[in-house]
Amino acid sequence: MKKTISVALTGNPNVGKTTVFNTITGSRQHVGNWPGVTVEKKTGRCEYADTSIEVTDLPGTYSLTAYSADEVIARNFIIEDNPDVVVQVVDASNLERNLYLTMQLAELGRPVIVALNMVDVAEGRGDTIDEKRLSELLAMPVVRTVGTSGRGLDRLLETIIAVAAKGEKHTHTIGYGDEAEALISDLVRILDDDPALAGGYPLRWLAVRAIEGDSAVLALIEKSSVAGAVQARLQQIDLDEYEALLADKRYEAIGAILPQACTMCVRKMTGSDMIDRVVTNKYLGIPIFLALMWGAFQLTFAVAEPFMAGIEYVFGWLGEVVAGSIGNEWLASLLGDGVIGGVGGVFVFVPNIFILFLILSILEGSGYLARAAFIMDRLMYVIGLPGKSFIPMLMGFGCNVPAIMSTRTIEDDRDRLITILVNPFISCGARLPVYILFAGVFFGRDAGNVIFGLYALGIVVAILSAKLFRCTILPGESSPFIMEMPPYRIPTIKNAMLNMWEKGSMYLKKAGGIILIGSLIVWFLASYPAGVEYGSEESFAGMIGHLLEPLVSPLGLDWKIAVALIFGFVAKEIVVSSLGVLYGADEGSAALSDALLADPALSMAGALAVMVFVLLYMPCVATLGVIKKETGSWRWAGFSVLYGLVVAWILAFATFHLASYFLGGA
Amino acid sequence: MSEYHKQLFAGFLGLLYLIVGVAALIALVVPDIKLFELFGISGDPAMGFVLVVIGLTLISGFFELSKKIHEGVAYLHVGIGLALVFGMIWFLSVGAEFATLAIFEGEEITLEMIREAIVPQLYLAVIALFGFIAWGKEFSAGLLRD
Amino acid sequence: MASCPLSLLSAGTTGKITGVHAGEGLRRRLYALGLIPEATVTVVTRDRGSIIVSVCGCRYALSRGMAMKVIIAPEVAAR
Repeated sequence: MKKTISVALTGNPNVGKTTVFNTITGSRQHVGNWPGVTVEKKTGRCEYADTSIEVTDLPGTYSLTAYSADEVIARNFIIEDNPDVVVQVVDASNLERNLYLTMQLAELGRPVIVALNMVDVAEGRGDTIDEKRLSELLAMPVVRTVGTSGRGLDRLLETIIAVAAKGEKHTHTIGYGDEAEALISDLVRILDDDPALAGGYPLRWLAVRAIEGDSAVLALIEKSSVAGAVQARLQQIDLDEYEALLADKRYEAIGAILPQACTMCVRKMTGSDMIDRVVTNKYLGIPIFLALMWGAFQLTFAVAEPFMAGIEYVFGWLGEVVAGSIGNEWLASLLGDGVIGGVGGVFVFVPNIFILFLILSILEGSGYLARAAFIMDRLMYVIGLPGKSFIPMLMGFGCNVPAIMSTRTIEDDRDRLITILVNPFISCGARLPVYILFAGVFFGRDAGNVIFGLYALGIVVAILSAKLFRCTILPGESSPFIMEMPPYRIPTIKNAMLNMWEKGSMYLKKAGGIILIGSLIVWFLASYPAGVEYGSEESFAGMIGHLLEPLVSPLGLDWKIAVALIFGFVAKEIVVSSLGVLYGADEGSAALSDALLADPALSMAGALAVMVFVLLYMPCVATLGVIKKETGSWRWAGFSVLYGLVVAWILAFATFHLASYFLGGA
Repeated sequence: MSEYHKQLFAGFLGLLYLIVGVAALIALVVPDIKLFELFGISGDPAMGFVLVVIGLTLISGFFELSKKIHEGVAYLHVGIGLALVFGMIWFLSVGAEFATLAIFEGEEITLEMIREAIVPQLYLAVIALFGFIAWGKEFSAGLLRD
Repeated sequence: MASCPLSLLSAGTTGKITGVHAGEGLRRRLYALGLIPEATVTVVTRDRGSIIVSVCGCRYALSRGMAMKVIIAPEVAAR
């Protein structure tokens, strides 16, 4: 029987951990969520020398305090899931900060292996590192790796197997000085009296964390039988002082180790520092950023064109084949109108979304995205949000689902909640087809400006809403932020592609699942009760529309639009395909445009109102699901629907009446 | 010596970008200027803005280098990088457009269309490419590879 | 030279941290990043509301509020 070893992969952010993970596990990865929280959990498997190695990629953290959800997850996994080996990927060009985490890992008692990554960079800079000596000083194996080329990974796997075979606990930890050590050993003795704690946790670590005032650990002790004794002992000291002391001691230990194991050359201003001076320049920073954003959108829409044409062609052909070959009229209608019409209309936008995510991945991989957040911080501060909130906003232009997921990097809960709640107002790719249809039909040459105006309106509404939330339901200052500015890198195509696929596939799943079901429901409602003409007033869809007509008529709209809007809740692209159904015209063809133009119930002002309403009215089902997941309650998801509807109705109403006044034709 | 060359290059290329960018903005207001058409400049607010930004970045490099501030080379390199990126964006966009026309709409790509596609952000990027070939390696060696 | 908050230093200055006056969570976070007393920091840019500092080879963006809490003794610049 094969042996299985479980390995936890940990390390600071931006040290090449993911690259190491990808290289070790290749495609045998599984992405899921950590139980209870929404941080992504990646596991992968690899076979080496008759051993099966199961790797869990822990979130990148700087330390193992309880500052963010990531840190709690990482340390809970190591303590509770008891991996056989913990591998810390270390950026060799940045040893001092990286070893801080190593010091904390050592206290958790699991065997630790240090994977010294990016040695090539460090040595290219003139540093020298003696990993044998480092290994002796840390009392843990140290292996050189180069994640990108895969060099050293065999050695790493061999070391993992060897360490796991020994199965020893790691016992070598740093000393914190007599006074602190006395306190620690007192606490350990007290804690040892509770068998529940002594069985499940490394006591020394618990003691150290308790001294440092770690809220999660204190809560744990609170519940134990020795809570009183621990409290009494802690009350004798000035905790604040001790906390700083412990951090100092860790750095002191690092400071003692480093000179023995490596020599660092003197740093001059690096290339990254120099680039930072340019792209965050007082005058040039924002223009450069705007230029790059414009370039990104230009690229997204232009390059996607041939792919979109190709997908349209394939679905058109499929539609013909189905219509021609299936004798059963009912089945042909279901497949042709329902499935192919509905899903095809959405699939057309897959290239757009993938290219946008590819560009964002490249920007992220190069290190520029962190600077963009930095540049926007001033502006975001005015709104009452931290600079980090800017990245989810940017991603929202692609699809709100991954955008909302990316808010996880925001530490403050209120900041995060606001960022999530305003994200649906950022006009995602799915809304574009609606604009293209209506703006194209009613505004001809000015369509481009109208669409641009809608995007701008979305941003303005998002900003004002954020400000409003900040002043009312979620008061507070935007929290001060610290963000690492990772060094600039030349992004590799492979990583950018992987990243794109990860985010883009969320959209694909949505297109495949929710939209398919949504299209089928639309088709059903439009074709029944039996015998009615497809999409006519007598169908279920028509009835619903008439029921809702009083609500939308102040916006200059009639029952058909009302039905389309309802269906648009499933996914906003469906607005277009369901209009196709309701007007009895093939979508995308000139017939639908003509039908819309000929409809006396629709005016230019009405068309504007539809677009404004679609932009704002509510998050689609997939987004709603994500909001629920990320905020942890239906309350906020419901709030977002309600708020969106109210804002959309008011603004569409205003748009309709203003436009009627200025454009004349109501 | 080499620093001096960089300074001249930054000044020269920056000026070109600035002129062409401003021209693209002028062409917005004043249509049909023959000289502009000759150089493929048409009124385009976004493109004009981008060209001006690239020009200003390079010119900032020129001024910093002329003040003997070594870090000024960063402006030159970022400027060159932006020039290449936008040249590439244009190249890809036009390529995609031609591909759509040729494959799905059965149109032929004429010489005239290709001539029209040669715009400042493309031919100026070729000049920037020389700068990249000359100094790019030395600078990007200082960056990390992912 | 006298100590002053990090946010008041001009770009290019280097100094030693003498104290971090922040709440518990924040301070622990700053410590983990290497912003501890005695560490040497350099201000890279401070053109905007927030500043970029470099400490032991890493760069961080700190909002001004955060930078107010880090007290620094600037070195007399030998620039």
